[in-house]
Amino acid sequence: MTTSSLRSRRIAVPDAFAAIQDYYEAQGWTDGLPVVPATEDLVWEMLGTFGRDPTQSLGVIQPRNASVTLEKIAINAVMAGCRPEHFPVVVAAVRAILQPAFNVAGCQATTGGAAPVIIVNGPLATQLSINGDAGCFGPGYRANAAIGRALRLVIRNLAGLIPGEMDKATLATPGRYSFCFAENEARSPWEPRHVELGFAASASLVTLTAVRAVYPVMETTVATGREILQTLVESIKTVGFANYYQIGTGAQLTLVLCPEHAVEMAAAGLTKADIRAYIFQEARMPLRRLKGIAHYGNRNWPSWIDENDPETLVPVVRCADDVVVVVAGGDGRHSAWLAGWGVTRVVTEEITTPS
Amino acid sequence: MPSVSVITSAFTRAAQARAASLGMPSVRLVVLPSPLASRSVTEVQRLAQVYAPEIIGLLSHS
Repeated sequence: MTTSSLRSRRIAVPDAFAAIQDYYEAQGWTDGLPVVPATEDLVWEMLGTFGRDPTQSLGVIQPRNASVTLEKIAINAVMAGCRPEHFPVVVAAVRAILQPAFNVAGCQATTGGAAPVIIVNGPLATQLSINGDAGCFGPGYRANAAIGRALRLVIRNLAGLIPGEMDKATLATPGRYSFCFAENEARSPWEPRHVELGFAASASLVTLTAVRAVYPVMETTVATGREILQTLVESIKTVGFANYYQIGTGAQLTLVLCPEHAVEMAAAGLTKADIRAYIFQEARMPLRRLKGIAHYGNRNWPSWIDENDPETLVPVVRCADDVVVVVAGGDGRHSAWLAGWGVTRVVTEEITTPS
Repeated sequence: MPSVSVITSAFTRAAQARAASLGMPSVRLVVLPSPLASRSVTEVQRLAQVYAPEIIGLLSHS
């Protein structure tokens, strides 16, 4: 345990709920909802189990060019309503968005308005009750709500991304309040994402992706896993979906399969790798449907896209590995694909806890 | 090195905030009318004719 002191300013406000909340709001430090006041004892409690020096910086976050110290992350985690045991997940998520490939200053400032989405894998997801089952994209679980909210408060308060100022999102998405869920490893027929990436089964991982929208796909009719996959493909082939114009900058797609669909796909002999390859091969739009509309004026296509042939099939990603496949959700036959932000890469970070 | 940032009016606050973050509050901005993305090539060329002297002027006077 460190003996360092906290560096942040101490601010005295009248000891009344309304006065405290009004103060936070007036400073522009909230997401609009009331926050937990970041008192010194709560900040220490948040840092305590992590056992690290609060002055340790994880790096500099853009566009505000601010140092991201554990102390500042802890303050935002307290405000978001995190329990101290959530803190290692928040720290891992912050480390992830600091990776240059995530392009936090881009995806959180651009008019596109993507939400940072945290997908948690490994035993910590269960230990912390991070929901990956029924209703996992929605409200009702403190871990999901508070961890996702903490990340957004870090982005607001440390990266300086305030709507209408450096955050220029046209619409943004409700996912920007909080968007965190776990892979439903218990009901997945496949190996979980962290094992797929080469981590030990005992490791825990966050995957961060910047998501503009959740496109739900209800498939209650067809009989085989392959047909379910084809319905998903038909849904992805959507006019106005920016990915088709941004594959050259590394646009990615995240496919969230509900357990029932996943089990039927596995029964049809499909692996996660097969699904990725299928999406890459089949979710293609002819160039004539893309030309002259939507994001065409800012298209970024690799040289192998023949722009002279209107029948050229443009894939939704530039390679199969640019599709992320996870299993989540509860009973029912609703899967979803998450529209990525085209100049951000999906990143991962192992969650480290105090030894 | 002399430099100038060319933005559209919708991004004025964002540009000023970013410049302040980087310790360059007096960075030179040339503000074009917004929106730009929906303009035709001809319109953009016309804008370029209008604003080029200001941009060159700012680059020439450090």
